[in-house]
Amino acid sequence: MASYQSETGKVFQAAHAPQRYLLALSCAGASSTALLNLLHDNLARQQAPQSAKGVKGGKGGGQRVRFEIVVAWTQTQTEADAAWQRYQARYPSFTFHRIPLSSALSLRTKSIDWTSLPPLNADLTAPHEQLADLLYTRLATPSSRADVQRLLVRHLLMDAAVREGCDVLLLGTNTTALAELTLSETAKGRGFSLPWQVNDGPFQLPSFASYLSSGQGEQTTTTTTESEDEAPSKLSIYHPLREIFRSELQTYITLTTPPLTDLLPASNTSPRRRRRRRRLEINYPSVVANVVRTTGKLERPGGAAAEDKKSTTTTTADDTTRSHQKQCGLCGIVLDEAGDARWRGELGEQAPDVEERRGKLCYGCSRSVNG
Amino acid sequence: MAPALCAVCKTERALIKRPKNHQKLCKGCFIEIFEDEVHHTILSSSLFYPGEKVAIGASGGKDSTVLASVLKTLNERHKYGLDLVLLSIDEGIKGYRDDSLETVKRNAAQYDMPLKIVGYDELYGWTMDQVVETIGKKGNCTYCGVFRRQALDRGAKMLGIKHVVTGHNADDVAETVLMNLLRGDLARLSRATSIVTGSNASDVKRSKPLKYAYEKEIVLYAHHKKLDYFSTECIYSPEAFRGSARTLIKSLERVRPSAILDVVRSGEDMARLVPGQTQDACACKANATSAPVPAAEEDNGSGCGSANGRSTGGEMAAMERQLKEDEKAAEEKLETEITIPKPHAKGSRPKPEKESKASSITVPIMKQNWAHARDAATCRVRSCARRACFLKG
Repeated sequence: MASYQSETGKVFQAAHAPQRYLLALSCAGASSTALLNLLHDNLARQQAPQSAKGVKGGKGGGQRVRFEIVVAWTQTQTEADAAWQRYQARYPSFTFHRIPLSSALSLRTKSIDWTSLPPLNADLTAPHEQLADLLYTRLATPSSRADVQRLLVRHLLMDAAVREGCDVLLLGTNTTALAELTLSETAKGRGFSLPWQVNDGPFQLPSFASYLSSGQGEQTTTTTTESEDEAPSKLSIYHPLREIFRSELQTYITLTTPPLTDLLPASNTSPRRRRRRRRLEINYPSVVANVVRTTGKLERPGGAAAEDKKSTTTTTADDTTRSHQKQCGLCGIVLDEAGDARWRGELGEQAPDVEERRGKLCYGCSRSVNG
Repeated sequence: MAPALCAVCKTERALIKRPKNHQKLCKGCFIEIFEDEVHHTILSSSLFYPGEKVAIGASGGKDSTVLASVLKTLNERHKYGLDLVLLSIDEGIKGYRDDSLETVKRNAAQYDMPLKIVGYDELYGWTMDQVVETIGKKGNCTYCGVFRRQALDRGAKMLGIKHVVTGHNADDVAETVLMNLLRGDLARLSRATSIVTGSNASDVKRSKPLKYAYEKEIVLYAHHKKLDYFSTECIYSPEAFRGSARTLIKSLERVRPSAILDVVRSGEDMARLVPGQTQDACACKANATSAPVPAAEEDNGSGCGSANGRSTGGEMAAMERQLKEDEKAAEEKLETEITIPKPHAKGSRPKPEKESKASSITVPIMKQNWAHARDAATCRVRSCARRACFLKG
């Protein structure tokens, strides 16, 4: 009887375990700071006793939602330190994690195929030096660097979510930023990846067998054992601010008590660029919203139905499916082999042995990495 | 400084810097590569079958003139066995179309192709001058576009032809992709990226053999082949929204020349992700010709040949002018630089990367070096594994 009670207790506890969300916070990002504040207020409201004065709709029963906050710092160390402390002081109820960009070299999820990227400099020992060498000397242009860095940050966040046991990754990207992302990705030949990058929904995390050996720059092929492959292969990514314009958020951060502007460093966006963005939103509000909604209509290959079907299958079946679907070594999106066959001449056809040895990249990532 | 040699033949002096990838080429190699790339597009998309009767939608502008010239050359060189006919639409715009039709008539004689002219007045009882007189200048391009598409169909049927080729180029396709993305029209985006389009209402299919050719290269080809074409813009108002997409495309091209093809690639990929579309990217089916995508009422713009750099401060017109001046200077053994005027919209241009010198292109110059565009020169001849070679059949 005691054992039965213990078992039912476990089941009850599992069913009512708090949903863990991981919020990506950018140190200078007004959007993600606003989202953090919104979630904080929401949590405070839910935790407050029902009779609490001044709290509307407050429900008793304690904590219903638990958040883990992960911060991916790409700024210089000094700026990051100051901002880091300000955030922790303001939101003491949240757990903050700090992730250096160089930890992309040792992801637990193994979601980056480093063999598909230019080789790391083995003479350098520190991971951050290796990564800086890769970004600043191996990539042809600043735009390539920005692309690769953005994708690395995305991998870090997904990895952090998996490591922290979160099922959902929340990104603070607003409508305007999503529209900008859509247009820039279209111009870079990454149209195929838009449904994954801009739309909400589950993301199939790739796991590459060939991986770096302890970040030393040597690429070795290791076989993923069962014990290592505990990480879930699927993660949900949501953009809760996808319907909010950047100008609305700029207003919101000044209206909170105290204003969120205290947390944010002075904007390094040029006044001219700010004016241009504002003018774009004022003059073409429907265009900005349209771009994001249009992308929202695009299907991921296999369709939504296939995604749902896959999500209900067992882990073993899922892994089998995953192993059959080739994914891009950098962005992790299913490779568009039919499209690539048609366009291969544009980038120069790779010899078969080179393709086998090196990981494969999608068209957009090849453009970024190989120029 | 010793003159740079052509990157392909390595013997002739490089006179042309390809707008697509900044490769330095001599005149002969540029013309050959341009024709080879169009040939590849035709093969990989299985556009024609031997003995097919094809109408070339000819407006007298640079795109359709180059299309006619290239198709005639390729038809003879690769023995396509096509029966080519020029099909022109007379919208009835005095001071514009009457002059351009004279060019088409000369082209018909130069290329030894039959010419059929179909007029709006005989088909609909209205000329565009009368339409504009009635509705004003605003929005008349919509009527004209609808009329022209149907006129091409009806003209082709009069000739007993089931295939019309048009001079849409990569810039036009990229522009349409962005325009439809901006206005949220996925159906049109999907249609515009397809190389072969058709209509439910008619069995005449349309295709765009110059779909992967840059507008600037078309101008260069026309110039170096000394083609006779008409470059005046339509006297009626442009389509404003298309104009802003065009400005955007030209700005992107200045920052990164490969951007146009990248947008086309994105558009093709996105078209396959539109709900209800097939996932098969490859247009080269096992059957002889590509299956047309329904074109409905609109697939692409610029069919009137009037989108000639209109919203970019007459960029193409300026390029043409400069090419002529350049030619004179070349005769005197001088090297000149062409500067394309900046677009009107101040501040609307994306911030250029460090390497770029965005405000000008030079023909021929050797200043810019785009590492990420260098491979785009590789002819797509090898690209399609499942290429259906209709000529073998």
